[in-house]
Amino acid sequence: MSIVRGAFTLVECLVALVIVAMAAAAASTAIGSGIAAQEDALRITLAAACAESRMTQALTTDYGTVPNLAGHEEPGALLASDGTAMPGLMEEMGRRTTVAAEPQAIPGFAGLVLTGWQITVTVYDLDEDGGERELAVLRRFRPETWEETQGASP
Amino acid sequence: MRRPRAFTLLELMVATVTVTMVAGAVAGFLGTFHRALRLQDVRAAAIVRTAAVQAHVSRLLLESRMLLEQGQQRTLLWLPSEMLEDSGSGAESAFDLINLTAGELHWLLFEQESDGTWSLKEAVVDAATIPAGQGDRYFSVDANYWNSVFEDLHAAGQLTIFPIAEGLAPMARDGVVAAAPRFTYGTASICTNRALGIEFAFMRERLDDAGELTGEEELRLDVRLDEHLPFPDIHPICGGGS
Repeated sequence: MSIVRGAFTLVECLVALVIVAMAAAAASTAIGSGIAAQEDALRITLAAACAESRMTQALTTDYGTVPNLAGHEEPGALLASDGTAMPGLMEEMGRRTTVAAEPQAIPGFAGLVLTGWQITVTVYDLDEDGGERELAVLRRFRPETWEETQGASP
Repeated sequence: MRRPRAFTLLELMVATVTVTMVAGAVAGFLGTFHRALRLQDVRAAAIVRTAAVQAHVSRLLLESRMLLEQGQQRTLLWLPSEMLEDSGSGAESAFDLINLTAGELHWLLFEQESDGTWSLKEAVVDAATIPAGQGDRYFSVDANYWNSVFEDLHAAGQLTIFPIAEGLAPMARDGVVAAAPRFTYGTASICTNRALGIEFAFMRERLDDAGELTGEEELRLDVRLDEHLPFPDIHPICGGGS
């Protein structure tokens, strides 16, 4: 008696191919998502450096001239603390700096109020639609030191 | 009894072509998969190392009072162990005295390795190698003096040098690649400078199918970091105060 061995039918082959294709698509999507997330992490890391760069300028310039740093730098116009252009991906970022005179009360020391500048630096890039995507925000308070009240550098 | 029919030549050829196409597609997919994973690794390393450099330098500058040497590939951070107001000034004052065994001097330097890549390193004095009574140095704003201190200690094997980040490359700006990674400063004078800039890049070459470097850039990440001295103490020799 002969044994009849059935081959795969066309439907079985098609189902197998669809399953393999779906698995491949899922793997590709996962990898793509991972790469996109890493690209974002990279941009956030560099944006933090861009913000820190501006903050360096705000914390090292003469106290009285800090408000001059307030303003908006368009993507492509970012400068490092020494006035040179930012490189690579950093060049694609924009930056906003605000400086406000905000006296700070010191908790636990009634009546003690420090005068100084509240500095906020926001770094963003542009999404595919040209909209701003906030990447990093840095806030610091620069108190006015005794030397500065006497007109000297800190 | 019925004799089993063999495959025809046409069937075999169709099967061979089909198998080859499927194998090619699978190989292509796996290759793309592998390259994507490798790119992820390279990017992750760049992110982590950039953050590590920034954290390391920030911590050092937090404790530093001045940058005593301002070179493009080397800078010297001064981390005095005493407060300025406690020491006064003058040649014999404690503030003027820099003891090599007190951990007050930290050099940051870019060095090129034998494979052409650059490393950012930190050098500190190995206190155990300084003979008793020979560790005193006196404060100076002379860059040549600090250069000679480094060269002498380096030549005598009295420095401990360890890497902060390896596998670096010079930064590119507007498509022009610099000759080397470098440090920049807010001002040229150590008496007035409070800012340190660091320019470098992470660059990985693409590998071919055999795993050999192709010379093409797979990833380039140009990095510019700016840090400042939060608590500077300008030495009286500069005409400043605490």
